[in-house]
Amino acid sequence: MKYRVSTKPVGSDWGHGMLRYLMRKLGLGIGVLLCTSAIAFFLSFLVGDPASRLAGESASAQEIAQVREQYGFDQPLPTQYARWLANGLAGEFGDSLFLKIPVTKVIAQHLPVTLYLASASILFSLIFGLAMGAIAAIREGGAVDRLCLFLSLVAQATPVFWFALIIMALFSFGWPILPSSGADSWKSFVLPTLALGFNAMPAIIRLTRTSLIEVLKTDYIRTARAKGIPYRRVVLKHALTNALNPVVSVSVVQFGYMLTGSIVVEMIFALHGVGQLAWSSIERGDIPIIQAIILLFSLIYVLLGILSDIVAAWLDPKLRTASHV
Amino acid sequence: MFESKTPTMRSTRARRSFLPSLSSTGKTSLVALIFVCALGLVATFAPIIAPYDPYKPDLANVMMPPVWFDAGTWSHPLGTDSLGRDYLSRLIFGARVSLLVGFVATFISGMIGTALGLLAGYCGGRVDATVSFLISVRLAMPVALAALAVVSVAGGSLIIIVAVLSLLLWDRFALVARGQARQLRQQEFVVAAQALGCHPLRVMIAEILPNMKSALVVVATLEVANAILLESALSFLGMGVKPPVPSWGLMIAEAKQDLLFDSWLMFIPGVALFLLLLAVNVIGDSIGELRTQRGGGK
Amino acid sequence: MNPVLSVRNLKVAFGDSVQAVRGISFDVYPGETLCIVGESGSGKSMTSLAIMGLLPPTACVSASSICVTGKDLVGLNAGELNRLRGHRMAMIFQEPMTSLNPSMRIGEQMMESLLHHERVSYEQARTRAIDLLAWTGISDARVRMSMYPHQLSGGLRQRVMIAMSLMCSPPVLIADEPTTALDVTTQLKILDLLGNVQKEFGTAVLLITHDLGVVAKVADRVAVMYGGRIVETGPARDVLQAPRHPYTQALLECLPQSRDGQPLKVIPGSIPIFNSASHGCGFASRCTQADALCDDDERLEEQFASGARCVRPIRYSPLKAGGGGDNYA
Repeated sequence: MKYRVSTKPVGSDWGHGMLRYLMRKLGLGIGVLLCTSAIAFFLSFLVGDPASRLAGESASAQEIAQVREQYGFDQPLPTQYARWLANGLAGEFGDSLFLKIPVTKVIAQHLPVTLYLASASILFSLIFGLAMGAIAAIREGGAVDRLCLFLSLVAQATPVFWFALIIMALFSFGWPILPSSGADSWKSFVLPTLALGFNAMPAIIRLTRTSLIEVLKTDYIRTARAKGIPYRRVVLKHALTNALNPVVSVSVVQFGYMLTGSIVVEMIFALHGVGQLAWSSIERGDIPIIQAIILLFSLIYVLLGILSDIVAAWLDPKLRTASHV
Repeated sequence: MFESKTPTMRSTRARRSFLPSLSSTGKTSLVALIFVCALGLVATFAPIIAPYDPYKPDLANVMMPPVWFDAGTWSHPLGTDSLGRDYLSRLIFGARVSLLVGFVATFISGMIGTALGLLAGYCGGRVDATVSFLISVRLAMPVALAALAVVSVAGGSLIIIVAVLSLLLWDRFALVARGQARQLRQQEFVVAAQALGCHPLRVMIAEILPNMKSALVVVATLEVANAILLESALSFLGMGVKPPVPSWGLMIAEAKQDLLFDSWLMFIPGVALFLLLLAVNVIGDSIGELRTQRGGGK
Repeated sequence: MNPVLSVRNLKVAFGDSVQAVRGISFDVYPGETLCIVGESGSGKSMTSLAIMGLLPPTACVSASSICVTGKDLVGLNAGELNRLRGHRMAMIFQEPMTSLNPSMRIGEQMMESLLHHERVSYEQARTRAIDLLAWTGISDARVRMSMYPHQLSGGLRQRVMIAMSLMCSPPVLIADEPTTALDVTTQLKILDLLGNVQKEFGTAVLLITHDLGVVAKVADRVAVMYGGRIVETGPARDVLQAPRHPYTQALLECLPQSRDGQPLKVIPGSIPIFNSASHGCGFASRCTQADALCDDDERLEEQFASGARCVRPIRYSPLKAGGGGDNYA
């Protein structure tokens, strides 16, 4: 296999191999999405007969049969799935069973809140997680290191819903400085962000710490120190840029987990996001919304996975400049 | 903070190695282990240990605070809930749910994941591609959401919850087993076994599997913590065990409305959960540390 | 002439149980190459790392003085040491494959030290980097500046390391086994390059190696290390042709001779680990001529003044000054 070394400087760093790798990942992603969508779709049939549910409790057998024909529930399952998928790709998921408005509209109404919350949370956990992990690594074995590890352990053992309730009790009721519900201003996002961010921190702390410890032991860090560069620059410019590779790509995936975490947090803080929508839809048995949300989350997960790969490759010059992967 | 670690010409003392019979981390993990075992015993003998019947309401003694408050008494050391049920007893019975779900679900998903990962890592080729694809599909599914949906539909019995969690938590087992199997299959003792004409299944089970044990145990402890967490989250959202069965998550949910004035209702089961999860994590960490100390071998 | 690097009584220990360097002293003069040669475990790498201050905090380093261009390193804090490192003394390492930052372009890594230590403009630093790269024999230096280390071969990377170390024109360059990890043809080229560094820039080179061939090729003076101590020192030609310490002689005898059919010689035994309780000549346990006198530290120290730390150094009649053995150069 030929390996052509790219001699092009900044700008055209991306080689062909990278593109091929991405296409492969994309293809895999589509396959995965098809499977998850199938699972989401067939989930609704666990409940029993959707037609009778739709028709209502007091419907007669004839009315049920009518509904069945009207909605196409009498078609063979694969056909139904194909139709649902085709509609879905066009953005048509039907109407919510309870709200009687298009599913896409409902989700679109609720999505911004969740995205806002998830972004703020991942930012929070990144800022504190990176800082703590880095400090712990630089002072490996010291008191600060042990403190950071302990904090990480505590955060890992704390159920997110319980922590949310505690900070709500403390900061909304104990010292009433922050709202406990609603989405009026940025203040109402502080506690939810804290709850979610605290939950995601331990993974980032540990990964940053392990990664940086390893990097600080390398030969090239020794070379940098031998050049007489101040240690601060050695750590920030030489060590962290190499150590952060795995952390960043993991964080991208973590963002996805924020979405599932938001179910509980939004419910507790009464934020009208997709998470809360999912929960209330499950309670009410509003199948179209549940299906659409599962599909949406899967889509986001798959996209985040690909994005994570892109980011990892972009950060690693070896992958960036290769023309064959 | 950014001082470099130059020893310069100062007399930097070499770090003394503390060598008591057990290192400090060893001591904490021992404590954690004892805690989990004790909790297990308490849960097993719950009917004998618990002072009251956790299901029996006692409307005369509703919302009694725990013993460290003024109004508390030792007859109900942890107080009573909104239906007058003794909180300590509910806590003890709640431990059953958490531990049962945690360990059984992890065990089953461990079996599934290890089997899949072992096959994928050992056989390679299309088997590997298929299993990897399955793992990707599983990873793309929002776990909590799927669990919620299924449980809401199928009912909240313990068996359903365990089944659902078992089907959702096998991915890390599969990944680790796959990685280990791939590494191990190139080792000489495996090649030797193959040369002897051993059946592939025998090679996998007798040669490769035993060497993955320590890696899998680390994953198992993490997943136990995960399973306990998920179960409590499900119960909290009302999609777990159905009341009046006590589950710590459910108890926290029931305590939500009394957050303002009787916050101890919410604290107590939460602390119990926290301690259990802490203990499991500590055990997992020290097993992981033992592995790296011994050089990642058995 | 004043030495550019002057080390007095350097000691490196790890706790009480391991003493890697047990009090060595040497000088390196401008424009010369001093080779420190020894087996693995002799403490030679520790010496170079200790001078540069690159040992981990578990190492206990002490010395009476370590003077670089007259400035004593003993007692300096980290900031002051950093001002000297890379600026007045530079170091290149054994493994070129891992000694360069994989995420930074060559040019940036090179210009970094100059931009930090001296007030030069970006353009000036860049020009100097390109010039030095070209001087070390790297073609297309300008293009290589924007490359990443993984795009260069081992030999090229070592040249980059050498060029990088010369950016601030340090008077002393420490090279820790710079050719060990390279193939033979590249080794010769790098050694030639080091020789050129010395000739053109007047840099003093402290070369650490285990390879007597390297010593023969580039050394002006040589110091033989064993068990954390310098056992023999002197002009390279003299030491190689007429070694006075039994260890040096044993080392030279271990070199494969050109006569066929001769079994390879080995020095029996292995280097013991020295701790605070060790005293006397470290080689005594393996020396064919050892006796009770070898335990006398004072006597050994006296003898060292004449070049070899041995109470029973090998003596040569004036006639033998020309050839004590075969083919060393």
